[in-house]
Amino acid sequence: MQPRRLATNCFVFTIAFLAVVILEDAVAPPPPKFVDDPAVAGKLDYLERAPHGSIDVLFIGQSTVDRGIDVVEIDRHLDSCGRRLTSFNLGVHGLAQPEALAIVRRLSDDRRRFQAVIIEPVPPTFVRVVTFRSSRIAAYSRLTGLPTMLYEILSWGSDDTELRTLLATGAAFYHSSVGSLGHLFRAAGAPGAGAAALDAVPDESMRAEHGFHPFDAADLERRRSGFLRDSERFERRLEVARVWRPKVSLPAAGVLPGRARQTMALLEAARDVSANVGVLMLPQPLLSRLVSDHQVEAAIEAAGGAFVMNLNDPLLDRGMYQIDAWQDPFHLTPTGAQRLAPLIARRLCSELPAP
Amino acid sequence: MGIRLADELKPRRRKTLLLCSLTANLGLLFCFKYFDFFRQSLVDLLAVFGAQANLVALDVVLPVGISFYTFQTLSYTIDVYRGELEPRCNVVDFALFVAFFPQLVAGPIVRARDFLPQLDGARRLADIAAKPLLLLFLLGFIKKACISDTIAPFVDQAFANPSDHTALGIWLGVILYSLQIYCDFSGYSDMAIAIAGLLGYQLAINFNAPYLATSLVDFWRRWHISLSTWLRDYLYIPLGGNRHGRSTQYRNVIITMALGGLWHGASWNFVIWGLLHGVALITVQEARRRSPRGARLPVWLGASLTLYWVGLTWIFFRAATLAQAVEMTRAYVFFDSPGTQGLPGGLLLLVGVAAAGHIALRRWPHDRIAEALPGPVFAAVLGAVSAIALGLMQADYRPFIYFQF
Repeated sequence: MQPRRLATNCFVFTIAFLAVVILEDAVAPPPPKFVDDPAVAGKLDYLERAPHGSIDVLFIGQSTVDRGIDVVEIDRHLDSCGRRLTSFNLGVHGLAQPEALAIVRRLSDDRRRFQAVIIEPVPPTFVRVVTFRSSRIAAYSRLTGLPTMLYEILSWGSDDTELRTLLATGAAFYHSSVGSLGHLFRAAGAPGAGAAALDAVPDESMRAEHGFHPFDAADLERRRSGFLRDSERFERRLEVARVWRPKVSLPAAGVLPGRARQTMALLEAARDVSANVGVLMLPQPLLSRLVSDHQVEAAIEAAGGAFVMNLNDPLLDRGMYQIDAWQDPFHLTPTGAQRLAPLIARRLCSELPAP
Repeated sequence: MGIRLADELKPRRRKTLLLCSLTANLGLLFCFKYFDFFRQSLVDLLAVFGAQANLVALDVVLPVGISFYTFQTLSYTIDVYRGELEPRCNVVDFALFVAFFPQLVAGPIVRARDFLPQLDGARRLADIAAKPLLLLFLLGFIKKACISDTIAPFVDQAFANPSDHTALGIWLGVILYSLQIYCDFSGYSDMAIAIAGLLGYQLAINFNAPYLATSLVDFWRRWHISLSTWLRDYLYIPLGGNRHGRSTQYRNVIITMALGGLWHGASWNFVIWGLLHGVALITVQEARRRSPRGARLPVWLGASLTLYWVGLTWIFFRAATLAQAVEMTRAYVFFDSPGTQGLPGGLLLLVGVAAAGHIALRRWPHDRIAEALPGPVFAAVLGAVSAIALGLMQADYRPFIYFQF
């Protein structure tokens, strides 16, 4: 085939492909409000059957919430700080943000009210991984999201695709692939994974060295710039990260358009069911503060109306990052969930108004 | 081994070499795939007689595609032994034949005498008919990602708890599974053939509208053609085929079909599946023999009976346990089930669409469609259909059914 004809055919193919995608975007029905998933339905049915007012604190999120939130332990710790509350774990494996939004709207329609609603934004690593979404939602979002995504990439106009995202992706890729190769050539006698894990938790000396601590919540701008500048933090990962490193795709976590926007829409809906809405950023042994986390946090700071429970911070409890607390890089073991419970309860006690 | 086989002139030594090769190939397959199955069967059998056996299980992970490439390497050795193929001196060529990635994990089973000669000539880009191959790939993708994966959850539902479903629900489940396994496997084969074709290698077709078969014999000429012809040429005919009287022929059919079933997996369900086909094939042969000369079933009746029987055998192929298969068979045959659940009747529409596509592609094969359309029109159609297919595909990852074999 002549190159010219080949080019013409490729061009025609692309135009036809995009035309149909845009057409589908225009005529396809909106995503279903609720996925008929037995896991979602089972938990929601239980919640809806519960008498109004019997549940005070609602945790919504993915399997990370499902396995990481020990409501019995949390309630016990809340009790010890003078709050007699009942929590409910609405964590569902693979829950997409649109589904979470549908759940919150459904609760709102049912005139449910809670003392607090704590929402976990879609974990960064799952945002673009379709297998972690419900199939129908993923199919629709792929259809409807494609033109927007292409536009964002091409125009560089969105906050989500600024240069720093690209740099973050590059840095993450370097340290997850090229950087890790360095371990293969480590000189004999140099600290191995176990020894290196001892200093893996960023300690207060970082503040002296760099003028700030990477998990310090005081200065958002410096944290943002620090995220890129202080890239060796990827090398100072935690014990779990060293064990599980090959399974993670950090580049996938770097580009996260739409996460902040979706989270804000979800929080806005959640305010219809509770005056106290929190965003739960669970410990992520493989990922420290990400650009997308900052985007969510910055958006909340700008808009108000919600508080951030950033528990992805090794300084809060170093025991949280020990290997026995993790079933895999994303999910806590029951031991881990028990260790997390007081951290959550402490934050809730400080955020919720006094009884 | 192939080179030594070709060089050796003494028949006895040639046979010994062939036996060594067969033992090595089948031994590996046995260790990885069948050892634990036979061990467990023996333990169960001894338990029936009140004896206890403490046999060690290998419990090893099954290498992906082992059944396929074992049969491929067997075909190489046997063809060299028979003098139908020159042995390859170049180990890279042989490795490419065994590990040719498009069909490595789930077929079609490629024979050495069909594939190796293709390595001799130079391949030119200009010789590759890209249009039919691209269309074939897209059709395979649609079969797998849009049809098979869409109906898979309903099939899982029907087969998970058959006793919960009405007889109609069981019937629909079986029909859907018939469609699922066809679309899944033939979709993979289509994509494998297309990818190989785009790389300049020709693989033979593996399916030829099997559900339009008018008899069971016809079905096996259309379903998993690479396996059925392999079994015919390397098992059925060497066993004697139909050359030594009817009883030997029927014995050979039963052995071939039972081993063909066992090839699919280490489970009695697969053996029963093969045996059911074997018994039915013999019945068809016997009915033909006894019927007056020229008397044949009407085409529609033959096709319906074939579909009915194939559907029944799929129950054994898919059911997790023998007890479950028996329960579903009762519902399928006697239309009797205690359950109350059904499957969405709208799925029949999907079955109808798939059947229409099945017939349409038989009438207008993909290569004729591709060649009939001018380049830009073809590109536009391909682009538009690709976009629709991507929109309809399921996001959940479901491995190809035949990956497990």
